[in-house]
Amino acid sequence: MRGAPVNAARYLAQALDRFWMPAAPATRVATLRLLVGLYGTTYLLVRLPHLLSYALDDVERFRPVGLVSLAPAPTLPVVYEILVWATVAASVPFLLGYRYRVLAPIYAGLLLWVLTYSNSWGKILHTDNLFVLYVLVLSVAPAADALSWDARGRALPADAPKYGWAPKLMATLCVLVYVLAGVAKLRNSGMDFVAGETLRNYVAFGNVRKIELGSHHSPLGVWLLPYTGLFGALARASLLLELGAPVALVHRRVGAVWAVAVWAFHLGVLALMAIGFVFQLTFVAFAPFFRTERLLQWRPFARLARFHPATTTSR
Amino acid sequence: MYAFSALMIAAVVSPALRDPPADSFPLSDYPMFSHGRPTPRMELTHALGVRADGTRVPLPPLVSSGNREVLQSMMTIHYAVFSARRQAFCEEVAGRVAEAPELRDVRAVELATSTFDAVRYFEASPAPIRRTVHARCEVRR
Repeated sequence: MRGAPVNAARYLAQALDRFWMPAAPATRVATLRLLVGLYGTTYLLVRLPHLLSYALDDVERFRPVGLVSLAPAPTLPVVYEILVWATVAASVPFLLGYRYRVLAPIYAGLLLWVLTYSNSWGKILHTDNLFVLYVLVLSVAPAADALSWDARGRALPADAPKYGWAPKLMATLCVLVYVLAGVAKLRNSGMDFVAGETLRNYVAFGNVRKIELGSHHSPLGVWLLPYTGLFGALARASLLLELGAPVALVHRRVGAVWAVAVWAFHLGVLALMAIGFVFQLTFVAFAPFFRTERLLQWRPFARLARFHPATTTSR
Repeated sequence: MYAFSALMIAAVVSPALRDPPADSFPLSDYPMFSHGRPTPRMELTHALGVRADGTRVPLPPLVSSGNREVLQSMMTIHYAVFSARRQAFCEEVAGRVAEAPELRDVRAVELATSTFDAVRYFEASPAPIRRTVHARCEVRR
């Protein structure tokens, strides 16, 4: 009789291993590193003037959040500027997979600090959260065992569970972010949100705010304002995508469909409110829901496989 | 890896389990667009350029706050207006207006809180229902 619980526990542990740490090719987590790394370097370079604009010593405006709350006052502007440049520099070895075990966690730490600091001036923007979380995960994952400077010339490692957990964790974090957004809507406005009036007012409000703050607005969002019923349908669809996000973890194909649907949702937010969640819009945020190693079969990416002798790209 | 995964998941979920839920970075309860907005009425504190003919033009973020990010700019203006340095901030904005060639027709800067009906804004008129001017300063060229 004592054997039954032990067997059940063993079975559950094995099932958990199969789900959370499925044997995967090293190129899967490596291609995720390349995608997130390329996004990171490009994004940091494009946003460099914006990030550097927070080299401030204005104590009155300083509203520290997250890790930055540990600091009693703004960082010296020159020190912050050095940290921003160091983050940009550290993004390159992360992308290339150079001295990854040491430099990737340093990049993750710098990125976390710099982006948290840039959100510590009164307004928290939610566009970079998932990007930072992905970098944190990849920085401790064996993401440079393939397609990297560190692994150049080495044979491609065999498929292993250690290459499967990071994509699974990244997909789970992505799902959780959307579930939390859905829960917040239910908690803060109940079922009023799905009535559509709230979303319509948000679209109108968002566009007025953009205009009155001297920025670009969405003519499409404005044009659609008289169609109240449309906003009800959009509100229901967005809440369904958010609260129903966990189904994306049940099966790979469901995950792929959900990822495309959420990407379309972000496209809709951009079209109606001129608000761009760049990480999501580039689709990099949804890459963990796919077998990204298959990118190597595409001609533009096939050259990457030359990092390894006798590599086939058919996995 | 299980411990790290559990830690990351717990960290991401934790802001929603707090009472009240906590919005921070990179951990958040994602409250954007979640609060009920039953009416289109809205209030906004912003920086306006005043032309010679008395018409007003919203100043872009780089001019109004020296920041490219619209929402950060909004908070910068808000904090400045409701602090002791609102007049000094107005002068700073006017200085940036003087250096912006596309705003050469702007004669003065106003820091104001405007109340709009966001739907009526597009369907009828963008005129505010109410506007309170907190500070005004001339643009010196």
